[in-house]
Amino acid sequence: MKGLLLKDFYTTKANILVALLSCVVMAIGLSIVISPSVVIILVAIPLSMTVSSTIISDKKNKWTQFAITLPVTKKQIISSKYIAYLFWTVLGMLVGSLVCYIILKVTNSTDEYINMFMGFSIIISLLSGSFIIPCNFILPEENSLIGTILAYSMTSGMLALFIYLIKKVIGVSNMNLTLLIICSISVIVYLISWYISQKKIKNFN
Amino acid sequence: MSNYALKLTNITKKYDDFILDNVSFNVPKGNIVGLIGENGAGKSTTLNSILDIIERDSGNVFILDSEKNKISNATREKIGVVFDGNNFPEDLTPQKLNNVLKAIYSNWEEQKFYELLEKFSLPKNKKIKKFSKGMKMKLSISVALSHKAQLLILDEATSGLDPVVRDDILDILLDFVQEENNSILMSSHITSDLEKIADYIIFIHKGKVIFEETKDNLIYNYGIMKCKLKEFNDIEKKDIIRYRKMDYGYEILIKNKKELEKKYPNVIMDNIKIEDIMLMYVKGEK
Amino acid sequence: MEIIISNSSGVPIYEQIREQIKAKIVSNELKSGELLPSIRTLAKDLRCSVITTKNAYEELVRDGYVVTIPSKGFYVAKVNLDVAREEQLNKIESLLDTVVTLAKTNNIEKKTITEILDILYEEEK
Repeated sequence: MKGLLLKDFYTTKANILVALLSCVVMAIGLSIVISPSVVIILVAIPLSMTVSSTIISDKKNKWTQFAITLPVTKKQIISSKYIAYLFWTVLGMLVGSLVCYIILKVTNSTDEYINMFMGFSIIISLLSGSFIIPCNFILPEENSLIGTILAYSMTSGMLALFIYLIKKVIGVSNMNLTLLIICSISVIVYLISWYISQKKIKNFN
Repeated sequence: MSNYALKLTNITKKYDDFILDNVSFNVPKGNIVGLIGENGAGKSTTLNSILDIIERDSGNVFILDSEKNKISNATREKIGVVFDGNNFPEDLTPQKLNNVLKAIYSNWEEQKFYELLEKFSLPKNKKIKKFSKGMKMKLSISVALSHKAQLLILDEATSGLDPVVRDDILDILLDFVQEENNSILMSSHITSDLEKIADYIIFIHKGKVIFEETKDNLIYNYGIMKCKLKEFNDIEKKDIIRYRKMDYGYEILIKNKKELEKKYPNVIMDNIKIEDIMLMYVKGEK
Repeated sequence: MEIIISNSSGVPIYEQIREQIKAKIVSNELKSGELLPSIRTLAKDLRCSVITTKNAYEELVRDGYVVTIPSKGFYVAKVNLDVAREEQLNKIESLLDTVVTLAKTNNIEKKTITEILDILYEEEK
């Protein structure tokens, strides 16, 4: 497992610096318009998406085929992606938070949306990931790209739906509590997706 | 302790337009077994079924003294695989690849790996995407030889390589089986390579095993008889394995050269190469 | 030990190996009790299959030229040189039989054959 994670780390690291930098720059620009904490989600999401591209490129350059012949189980190959996805999401949130913190310190202001964007990051990343990772494994390249786009739009929609439901149906109007509930749901969905993928995905081609 | 590195019994895999049909054969320890067949005959499907890359519908595979019918990670430690084309992520360098594989194989031999890289003149800090085809192949083989493997499985590993590189690789493969417990199963189109180093040849055609023979038997006991129609009609059906009607006469594939040379002294008897045996089976009639 | 193999002579490689080793034993180039290269090493050096070298060695054992000691290898036997010579003579006789038959069928005199033999022996020098 460690070897698999290391390999992804190497390949992503090679491609990531540019992406990360442009994210941060774009985020800083946007944060002036919206609020600094939007950086958090704008860095976390693209970073976690890199995992998606490693699954696809693994298939393309036949690494997956070779990896099956290594002393790692198919379950470990799948799990390594779920773990990596979590890692980059958290890393993205940390980097985003740092940038946000710096901006707030520099402009000497506060941001009331931090909790909201943190929550959104976790929710959108985990819910989308639950759908995208298995899609990348099972579907051929073009289809999984569509799947990815679908996933993000669907997740955003689900997020709005959840907030509405929790407010109207359960009657919670505290945003923090609402987000906490939905985050928990996201984590559970992610874990379920992880479990099912490990059990069910046998054919990587 | 079995005498076999690999035993296949009745491997079957069904696709919409192709069936791998009850493929069975053995790889005795210490031997090199060549797998030949046309494109699409089922060689890769067979190898993929052995390695669990695709799930077979039925059949048993026993590898390297492993009693179970499924490949465990412990067994995978002892198998080295080389596929045609890319095996590794192109953004890595051999050095990074070493770090990755060191963390995966329990018996990874880092020093041996670097020694092999030196021997093949492979730069350890250059990205794999900048390697030529021959270099990539040598890298794959270096990896396969650097974790105390006892069985090498090569799928069309030498296709597209120039004769010099192929000669180097054949030498390495021969070196590998100097150790009695080491064995090789290799599929190849380049039958001349197999003629050089294989002990046994297995011919797969349309998903079925057509024959499993020693290479020596194929080269020395199989032959081609060439004759005209009149002589052709005098030849017993049971002696004919396959025949082809050519413009200038008949060509007949036979498998007991010495016997038939005496039986039909007036017919021309030629030696035959493995490639031609294959052609006769595919294009000839019974 | 030098063995030269012809790939296109039509004679199976295992026979070539067998005969060349026999000849070396008979001519005492390979001495009694000497260790022969292993089946695998020989196969690698000659670039042929281990099955080939195994066949050759097995026939040498069968014919009494070589003995095998388990997990040690193949050794030149204490060959009764007379027996070996006898075998070679039998072969020569059989070959000459073919020559004589051919000569008789084509009305070639024994004198001509003897002349040819003289020339051939001269060439050997």
